[in-house]
Amino acid sequence: MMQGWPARYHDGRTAKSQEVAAQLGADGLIVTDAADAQVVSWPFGEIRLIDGPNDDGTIKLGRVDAPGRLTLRQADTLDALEMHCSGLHRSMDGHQPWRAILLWSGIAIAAIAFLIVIAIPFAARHAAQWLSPAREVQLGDQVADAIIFITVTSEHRQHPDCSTVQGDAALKHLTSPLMAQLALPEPPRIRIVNSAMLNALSLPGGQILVFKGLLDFVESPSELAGILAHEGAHIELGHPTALVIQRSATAFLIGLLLGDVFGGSAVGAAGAAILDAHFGQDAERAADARALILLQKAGIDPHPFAAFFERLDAKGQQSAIPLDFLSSHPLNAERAQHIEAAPHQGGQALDPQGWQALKTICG
Amino acid sequence: MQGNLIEGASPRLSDNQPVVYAGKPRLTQLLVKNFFLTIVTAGVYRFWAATRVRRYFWSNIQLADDTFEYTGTGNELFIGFLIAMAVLVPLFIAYVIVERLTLGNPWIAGALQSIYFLTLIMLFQIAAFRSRRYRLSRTMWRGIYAAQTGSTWTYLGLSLFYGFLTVVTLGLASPWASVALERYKLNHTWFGDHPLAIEASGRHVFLPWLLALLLFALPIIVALGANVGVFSQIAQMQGPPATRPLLILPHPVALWLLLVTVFAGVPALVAYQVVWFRYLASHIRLGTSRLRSTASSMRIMRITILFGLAVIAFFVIVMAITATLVAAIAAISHPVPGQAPIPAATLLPILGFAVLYVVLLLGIHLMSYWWLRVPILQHLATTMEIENFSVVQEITQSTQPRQKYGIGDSFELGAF
Repeated sequence: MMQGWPARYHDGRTAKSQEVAAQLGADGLIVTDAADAQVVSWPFGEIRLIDGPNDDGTIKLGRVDAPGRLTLRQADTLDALEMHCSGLHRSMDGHQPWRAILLWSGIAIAAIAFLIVIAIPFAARHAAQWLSPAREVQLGDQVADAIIFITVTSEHRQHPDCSTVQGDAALKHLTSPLMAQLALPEPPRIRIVNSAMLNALSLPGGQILVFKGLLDFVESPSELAGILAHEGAHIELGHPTALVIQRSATAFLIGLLLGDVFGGSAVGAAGAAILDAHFGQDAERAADARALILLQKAGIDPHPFAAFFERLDAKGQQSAIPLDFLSSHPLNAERAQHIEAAPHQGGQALDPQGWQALKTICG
Repeated sequence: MQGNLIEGASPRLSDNQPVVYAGKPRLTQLLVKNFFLTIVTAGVYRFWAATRVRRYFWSNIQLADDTFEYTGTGNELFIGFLIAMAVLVPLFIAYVIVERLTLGNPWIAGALQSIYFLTLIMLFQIAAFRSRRYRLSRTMWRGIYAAQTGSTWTYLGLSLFYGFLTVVTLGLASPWASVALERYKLNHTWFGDHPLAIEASGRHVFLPWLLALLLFALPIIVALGANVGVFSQIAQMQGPPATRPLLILPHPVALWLLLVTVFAGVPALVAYQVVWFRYLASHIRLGTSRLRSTASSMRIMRITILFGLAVIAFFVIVMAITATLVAAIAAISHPVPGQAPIPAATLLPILGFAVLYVVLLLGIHLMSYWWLRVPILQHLATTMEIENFSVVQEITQSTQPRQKYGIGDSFELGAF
């Protein structure tokens, strides 16, 4: 008669089942066959729980680095084994996966942070130089179409651009002295977009969008000149192209790292949108400084530009659209101070008649 | 010693042995834990998560009292992923650089894109073959390992040849292609020292495929044909604003045809896949024993349709909750019109949508297991039977070396 717990043994050499009995020995689990002959003895320290306990109490045991398996059919065996086998609940290959997981998670998060904060912006600044002018214009048009689709109401979407003969002439008169100074093959194309958003932004390929909401908000032509000088400076400095490249690279990276297990690409796109919602403080300061020079050389008084920031701050306007040059700065007051410090020189950028034509360009 | 071996150990062991699905508890707990650990580890945990899920499902398939066992580890999958990245990332960077440098030439750009996507397709086929090899090498029953031999390059050649054949026959050759590829894999599959063998041809599943193809693709093609006018209108949308049409309406017949595709074509495709599976499974032999499947197309179609309805219902509920939340957040963040919003309230929408996104993902993930994957696996398993089962007593462990890492397997390629 067999002594011990009834069990089924597979020796790892054949697929035959052997009915055996297992009992606790001095330093191992002793497996015996029907004739009480010892089949195998497993040292306690090498025994691992493979599977179970199942509903009926069966458990499957294995031995480290060996294919032999022992299935115990009696319900109370696990407690007894736990007392003797120190490594019962460890993995078969003896690895402690948590250390590897923690280490690599830390490395992954640090690498992602490094790529997003340092490497991709750096690469994007230089990658922008590779784009052909035609491709840049194409890129800018794509972004402009997307922004117009989001911000312009359906009644104006067919004809999003505001244009009148006098208004266009006034806009040209206002901007030519500024844009002609920029070191660009062609001066930027300025579009007045029929949307209530209080915003202006620059796009790849030398395109500036001024929204009707901003045109309504500005109180003098020199304020508008300041804003356009600032946007023109962004384009001259290559900021919009770098930003668009940076965004797509970031989205691609996050998508790649998360895999597609949990819709990683969607997370990637959302993450990139949140992370890159503006050009960054340094880029804004550089554009402000360049804008001041442009204004001075064009003989336009920069102080209305400062007044614009003060009024904007007072209004506490927050726009929800990314790429928004106005919402990216909590430091409007500081910027106003910088511009105030510049010498008081120059006059208005446009005569009252032209200003009136420009203000009413959207009808 | 030899005399004490009990042949056909248990009295229940007859010569026809059914496959049993055990249905062990705590799957949901495992999935939820995996989901959140994958998020907080920036995706690194997903290899260990996949390993745990496989271990669960392998141990649920039971044959003659003994469950299958998955012996792979997360470490192996993770190392495989790192190796795969070392191939993919340089490939992608090279593509981007060459694409940027050759701008303006549509011919070079087109050729480059074709080469890039052909490379990706080939890598996908290699990964599919190798991931099956890895999984089989980590599959064990009664202490005996399964294995896959055969050449990755032969398989790649086969897949390219049949892929080409399928394209030039407009999909008609698809059954021959899928059966041939599966046949190659099955004929190079081993259990211990015993090879599997199968003789099968695509012509036995051609009719269900033709039906599915007609019900699925034909309505789409006809709908596209009926809407040629609409496409020229869409093309005009790219033109100058003055010439853009005001409103584009599809041809009314398109909607009806789309309904045919969704309500007849999709179930027909599912039915074809079940017929395909049943046909192949029933022709697998292991020595003198053979597999037999009686999987039901109707059953799988019903599972698929119920799952689709459940997903739609879930979306509707989540969207309703979202709409309510958006209204509430709008009320909180702008308490007085014209005044500045409360600073903390500007974070609410972002936080709200992050939570919503997680709920949506986790919900779909869990539902796909509860109402799609588990029921289908359970049905396919329990409708399977092995004839002349006693042959397995002759199987012994193979002495061939086993694959080291799961390189191709580190990407989710469908299946478990």
